[in-house]
Amino acid sequence: MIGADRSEPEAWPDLSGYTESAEDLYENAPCGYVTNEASGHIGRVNRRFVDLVGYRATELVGRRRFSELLTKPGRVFYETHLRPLLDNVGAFTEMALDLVAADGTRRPVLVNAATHVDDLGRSIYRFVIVDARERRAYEQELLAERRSAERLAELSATILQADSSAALANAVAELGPAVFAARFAAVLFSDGGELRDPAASEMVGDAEIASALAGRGEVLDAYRFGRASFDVASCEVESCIEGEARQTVWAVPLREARTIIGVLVAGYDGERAAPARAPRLMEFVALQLAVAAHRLTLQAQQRAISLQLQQALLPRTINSIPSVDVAAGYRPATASVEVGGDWHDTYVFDDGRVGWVIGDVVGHGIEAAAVMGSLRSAFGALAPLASGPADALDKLHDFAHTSGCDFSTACCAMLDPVTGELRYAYAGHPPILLLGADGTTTFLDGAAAPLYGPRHRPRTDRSVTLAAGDAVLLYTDGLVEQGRRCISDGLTRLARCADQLRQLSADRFTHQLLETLAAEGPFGDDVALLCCRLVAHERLCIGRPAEPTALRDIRQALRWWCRHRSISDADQQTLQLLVGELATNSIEHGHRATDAAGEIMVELTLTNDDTVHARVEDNGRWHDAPTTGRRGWGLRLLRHMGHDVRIDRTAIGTRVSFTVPVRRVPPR
Amino acid sequence: MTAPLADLRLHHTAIDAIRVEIDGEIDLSNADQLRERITAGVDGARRVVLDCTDVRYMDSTGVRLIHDLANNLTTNGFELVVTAPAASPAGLILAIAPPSGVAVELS
Repeated sequence: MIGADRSEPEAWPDLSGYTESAEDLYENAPCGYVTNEASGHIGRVNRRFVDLVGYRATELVGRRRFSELLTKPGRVFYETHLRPLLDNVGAFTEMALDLVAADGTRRPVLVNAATHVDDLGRSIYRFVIVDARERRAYEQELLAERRSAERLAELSATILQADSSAALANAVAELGPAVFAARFAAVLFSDGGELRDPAASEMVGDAEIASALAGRGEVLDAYRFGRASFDVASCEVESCIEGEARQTVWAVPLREARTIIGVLVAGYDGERAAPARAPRLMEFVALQLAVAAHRLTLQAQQRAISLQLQQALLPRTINSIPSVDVAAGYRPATASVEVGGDWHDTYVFDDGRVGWVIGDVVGHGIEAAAVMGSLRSAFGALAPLASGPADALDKLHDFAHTSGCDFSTACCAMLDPVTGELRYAYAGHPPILLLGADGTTTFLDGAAAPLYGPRHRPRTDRSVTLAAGDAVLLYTDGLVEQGRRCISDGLTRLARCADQLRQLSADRFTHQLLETLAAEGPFGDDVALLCCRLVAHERLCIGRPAEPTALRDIRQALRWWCRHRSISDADQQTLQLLVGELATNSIEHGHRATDAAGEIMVELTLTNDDTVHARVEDNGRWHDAPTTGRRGWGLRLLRHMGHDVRIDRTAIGTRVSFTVPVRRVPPR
Repeated sequence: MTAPLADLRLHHTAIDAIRVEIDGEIDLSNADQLRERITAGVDGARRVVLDCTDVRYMDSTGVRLIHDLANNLTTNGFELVVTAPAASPAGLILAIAPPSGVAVELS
């Protein structure tokens, strides 16, 4: 443009030979013309515009304003924005407006306008109107594509995170219609050859259609032979789609390698055809669904293997004795894919004590299950050699450290069923819950370091004396960390639930406790628990080597037995005295004679008529005369205080039996 | 090692009088040892009061202990008195089978 002189008028070609009239050019131009007079009314329109809006020219000229042909919001926009533009700037261009045609339908248009000032100084507005129906449809198509793409992204993310086939089905039912621009969408999975909608049981509406479709030949064909489109109009589906005569359904199979594992379906109203992109989108989604289903299958398999391994490593039997009722429970995490390393075991030691251990290996899956197995085996070997629970855990700690078993926690308790003494120790484990027969609930404290790293100092045993009917609960933290509650809330809740179930046998208690807690929310982690109850037996049976130190054990057992049967102190004293006399006789006389390593047996039975039947038996032979010396006093006492006294001497030993009526004092 | 079944508490009540309180249980496993400890403890006293109030268990082994103790002491001209509440374990057995030659005072 350098050197061009802009002030010079542009040269205009000579049009004298051109035949097209300006009039024709105006009337039949490929756009509408409207002129608004200064009065405000339309002064002139061309034919193209008349055709576009469907009014007769006479209905417009001198009768309406241009703005009156706009939609209501358009009119407001015109008065507030466009007209000020025309008055102040003199023009506007490319305004997308909707005209209302004579038949009430809308005509999307683009409008350019310019102000012309006539000789008298009045403003005349000239409008050029271009039909924009195609363009508007294209814009809307673009918007729909964008919405569909957004929904597709959402659907993909949901499929990626789904943790069950029901979750997949729900995602498709919810987001599929928007993605495929369909009336409904569903995924049906093959279940032993049958197609099934895993979410159908939880949903209404479109899921019913999906379920109905599952039984139809066309869907089965699509499922078997690949992508298909077909019309659905049979009564079977119509019953689900009220008032809709015809539906077109697209079906795309879900492939896993060469196997078809399900089918994705999308349904369209008869009139509203599937958009061209729908089949492509469906194939894409079907691929994602197949991958997700494959992932879920693999996860389920891995979980099953870990679970199987863990269960193979957990004890099959409970070791206990008749006076101790023990039951174990285990429940894998509800939500987690992999099982944890919770373990437990029960023992009966040679000295008559019983022992219980429960542990939790941090981590999940096959590895954790393997560590758990080795810890359990090690503990089984170490526990009988240990002096008590603390020593057993110390030995396990050393084993875990030297064998590189990762961080884990455990808790061990050992019970002397005769004295009721329960000794226990912890290794970073939640506290044992004691359910007293008297209705109390107590957590047994005594925290100690977990099994991790080298052991720094020995753990120490704590002890508590159990009464008949008392139960203790050993468990892993999954039981109290449910739903990510803080642990103290979890303990409170556990105590409350356990309290309500305390009357149940150990087996029922364990089962019910897991049920009750599971009902309050899924377990985020594995749960193992052991419930151990000292049973109130009406019979006491103690066998001891015939040595003077046995007397103390016998008295302690008898004291405990009497106390838990509410036998009065005076009657207990009588029983202690008589049993003590007879036992002393057996020890002093029976075995001093033979020098044999003898045994002494004391058996007490409480009958319903509040009578204690006592029997003291030995396998020795008394060597001195029965009526002389200290032993004579013992027998005198027996005849004085006991009833139904009977003395049997045989070649293999002596048995003395008697009865004592007792008074029972109700518990305070 | 388990704790001893019984403890002894010795109180000199006069220049030549001693009260021996037995606290615990007396049976075949500790009677001989108890007798020796008491004999050693009361050496030099003319009057010995054996207080069995805190005896939580005692059978005829304990009676024999007292009997033997009395024999040892009285042959040397000493006096032995045994006291216990009547309803206590010691009182019970002492009432039925009192040791000969010993003054038993049940309260």
